[in-house]
Amino acid sequence: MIQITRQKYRIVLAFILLVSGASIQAQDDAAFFADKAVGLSEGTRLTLARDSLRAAQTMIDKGESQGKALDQLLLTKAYDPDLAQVEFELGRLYESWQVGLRARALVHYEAFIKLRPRDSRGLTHLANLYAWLGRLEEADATFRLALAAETKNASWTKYQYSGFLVAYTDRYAEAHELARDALESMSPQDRENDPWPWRNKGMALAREGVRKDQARSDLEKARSIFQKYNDTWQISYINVALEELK
Amino acid sequence: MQKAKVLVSVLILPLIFWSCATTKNTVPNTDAQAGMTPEIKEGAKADVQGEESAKASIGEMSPGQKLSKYLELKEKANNALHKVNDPGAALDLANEALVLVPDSSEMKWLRFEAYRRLDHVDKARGVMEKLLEAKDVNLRDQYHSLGDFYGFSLGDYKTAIEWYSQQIALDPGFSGWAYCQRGNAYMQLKEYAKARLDFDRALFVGGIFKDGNLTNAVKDYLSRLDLAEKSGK
Repeated sequence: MIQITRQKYRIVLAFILLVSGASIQAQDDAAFFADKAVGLSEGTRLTLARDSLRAAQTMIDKGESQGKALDQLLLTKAYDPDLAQVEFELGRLYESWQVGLRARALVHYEAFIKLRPRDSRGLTHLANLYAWLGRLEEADATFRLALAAETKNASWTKYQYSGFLVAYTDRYAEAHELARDALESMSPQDRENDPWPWRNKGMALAREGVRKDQARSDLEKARSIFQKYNDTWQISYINVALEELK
Repeated sequence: MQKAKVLVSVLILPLIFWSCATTKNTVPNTDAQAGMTPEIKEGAKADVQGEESAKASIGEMSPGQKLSKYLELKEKANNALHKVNDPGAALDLANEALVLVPDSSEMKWLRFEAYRRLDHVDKARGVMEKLLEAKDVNLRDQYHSLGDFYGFSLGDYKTAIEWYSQQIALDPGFSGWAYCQRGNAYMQLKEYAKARLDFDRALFVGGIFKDGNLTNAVKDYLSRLDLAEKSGK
């Protein structure tokens, strides 16, 4: 659907990273644990880094102990400065709703993308952050890069992009197409447990104002999955959309 | 001469105090450093220190300890402003949080809202203008505050309507309070038909979200609207 050559890809990525700037905050924080790896053998350092990263990931996944997770990640970075994943996890930590320091998250996702320029996960997180910060053109360009990058997380990237298009643009037909493609490439189990592609597809159709029956059906499907997770806010949101479709 | 002495005191004394405070904060914490020897278990020790952030002074804190303390203050500041409605306490807590995380746009916006509620319009405006200028902002979360600032604090209902409308355009399904306050702004401008449309919409969204506070606020506005229409004001 979207064709981007390798050369164009590099130019667009370089431009995005150039204009985004970087924070000295990240460097200051990293310096705190800088001496912890001094005198250690390579094997010890890399083992410590792996274990420290895993501990931090567990904390971030649980959405708790954010301060501890930060120290753990900075320690990981001291042990293994080449570990790209640390930057990704720092981005995830700062982006989390509990912490909400999104300008910092941006710096780390950008650092991650410099190290792994074709990682669609990192690009998708970065795109979502640009959108959140109101940098919509950069968000759109970065979503396109994410789509053109790896295919491993393609369905996730597609419905994230679809959500962006529904929320921030009037490109509802494109949003609908992306969400539909995402659903088609998901496993049957994921289709039954992930409400977001259904929600985005339904919202795209509802806002497009065509195929209202299909929009209603998609939104009802999304609502039934949100109910499993007791997400009352999203349920109410969908109820508003369903009322508007009547 | 007397003026010069006063000037010197005003300029020098805070510097001396600041210098003392900084010296104290930069003394190395040997306990903290001893806990960071490069063993896998020591990773866990670094964790434990995160829990003890309250005991350490800022200069001694690890980045994680600062973040933990910041999150604690942020939660208290949000509670003070949004649950207890104590903007003074919220302002103090936000100021403390900003010492730890100076780039927190969330706490800067909280200061703006606290000043607004404390009727310090100029200070609120100062904070707001800096934030807007620096683009240190997700405006999506601030449209409502900006609408309230222009409407309630300045009585500039036309600008308030523009801010509320931006929020509504972005996500009509989530904008019950924006409809409510935009309706009020229309009512102040005597555009009663538009006000009533917005209040109806706010009631609809409030009902679905089961937001009793919103429903009550709209009902109160509607009774005022009825009176205003009857009296022809």
